[in-house]
Amino acid sequence: MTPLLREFKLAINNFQIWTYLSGSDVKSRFRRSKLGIVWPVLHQLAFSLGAGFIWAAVFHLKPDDFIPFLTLGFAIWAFIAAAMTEGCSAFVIAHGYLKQLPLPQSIFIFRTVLTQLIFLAIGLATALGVLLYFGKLTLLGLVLGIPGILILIVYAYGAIGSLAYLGLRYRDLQHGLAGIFSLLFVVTPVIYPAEVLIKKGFAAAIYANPFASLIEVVRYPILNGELAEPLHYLASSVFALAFVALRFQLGFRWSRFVPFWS
Amino acid sequence: MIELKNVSIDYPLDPADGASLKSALLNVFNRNRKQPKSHYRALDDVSLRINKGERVGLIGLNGAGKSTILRVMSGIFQPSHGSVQIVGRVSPLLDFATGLELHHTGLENIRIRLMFLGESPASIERKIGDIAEFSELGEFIHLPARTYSTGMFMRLAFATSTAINPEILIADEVVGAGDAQFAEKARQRIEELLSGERTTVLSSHSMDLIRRFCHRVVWLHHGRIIADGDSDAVIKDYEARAPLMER
Repeated sequence: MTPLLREFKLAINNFQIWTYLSGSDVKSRFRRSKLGIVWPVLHQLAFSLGAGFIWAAVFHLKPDDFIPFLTLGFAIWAFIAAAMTEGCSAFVIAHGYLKQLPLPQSIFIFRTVLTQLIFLAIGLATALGVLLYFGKLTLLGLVLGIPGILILIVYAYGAIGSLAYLGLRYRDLQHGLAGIFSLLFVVTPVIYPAEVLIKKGFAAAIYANPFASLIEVVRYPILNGELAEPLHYLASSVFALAFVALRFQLGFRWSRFVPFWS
Repeated sequence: MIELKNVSIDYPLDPADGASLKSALLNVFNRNRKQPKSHYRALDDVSLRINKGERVGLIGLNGAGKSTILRVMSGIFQPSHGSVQIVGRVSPLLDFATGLELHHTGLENIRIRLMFLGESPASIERKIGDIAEFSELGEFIHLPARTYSTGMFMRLAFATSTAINPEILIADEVVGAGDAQFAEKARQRIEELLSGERTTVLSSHSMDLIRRFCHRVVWLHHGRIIADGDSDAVIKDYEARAPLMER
């Protein structure tokens, strides 16, 4: 319990610094780009609408159902993958600070989590816009999606926190993860509904895949106005908490080496 | 107050040449491992106590471990062996540019740097006008730092870094900056910074600077303290012996 409490205290005491760093990250992503924030939105829309219409035909699904499904899944998946890949560089990009100032390392974890949450918010807003257009947006759905979002946030903190240490120590990890996530993208029901896999006998890809559960606990309630299967809540929570435990374990053993590895 | 007890710092050497998952995995299968030297001992069993209000100079040849010991005193490095106790808030001036962002304006950069140096928002608002004026950047203070000349950049960094009022100041070769006009102002500013009622540890190769501000000098060599005492005495010894010693 105490490391967790200490962490909250650090978060509050250094609020100014990590929120500034995060804001700076977001601004620099869109700086000097004429369309700025519109780019990721356009990218998401182009993918969802383009792939949506075509795949709907391939999988024999109604575009009205499938395109909202796709946009939402895409936004959530982008966040899950980015948490891991960007998490790897959380300490790497802060190497100047880590070597010159006695700042708590957690600051750089909070900063990265916040930055990714901001991008998630943009992705979700776009997805919700698409849902609204196809008449699939319900208040009930949004409210029931909140527990899932909370689990996503815990996952992000744990994954970014763990990978910050691992990615600093093993600089090629980020590349390896990018590859793994490309594979996972295909195996996880992001761009096709779970039923398609289950019917073909690949149920394991959904039920033994914690990433699928992470997506389901957010996507399913929003689209269907009811909670997802308990198994998904259990799997995603355990997955998220395992990462949090890993973060504290790595912090305990490797904190002292971080300035040397920076 | 800063106290080091039997502190050693071992720099891990393996990440220098690519700690990669690939090599880590390969090493599992490599039974006939001849371990190359895995650590570099930068500080060797150092014990030191600096009391509140003392002004201590730190001298030594390049590579003696000065920057390392400054980082231990600032709480940036945890000792590999031994213990450190720091009582009071430390503001380390170990470089002049951490936090400086080329895309932000001069004014924004002052705010950012002060934030990282531990100044409260209220204190930042109080000091920012004076810093901007001291830097002599004029209208450029509202333009992005990437438009600055090197001299302007250094004046801004210098003005900001010397505006803090820390409990404990740990400074590594305070950077003097600017042209002939600025140099005199800079000198005065440094003197103000170093003369306060605070604990100061100053590392420098300028014996004049150290003699002026420090009553006590610690001489570091090969990661060990080989002299610690009255500044005149230690500096005289250093000037006599150091040119002949091995780095």
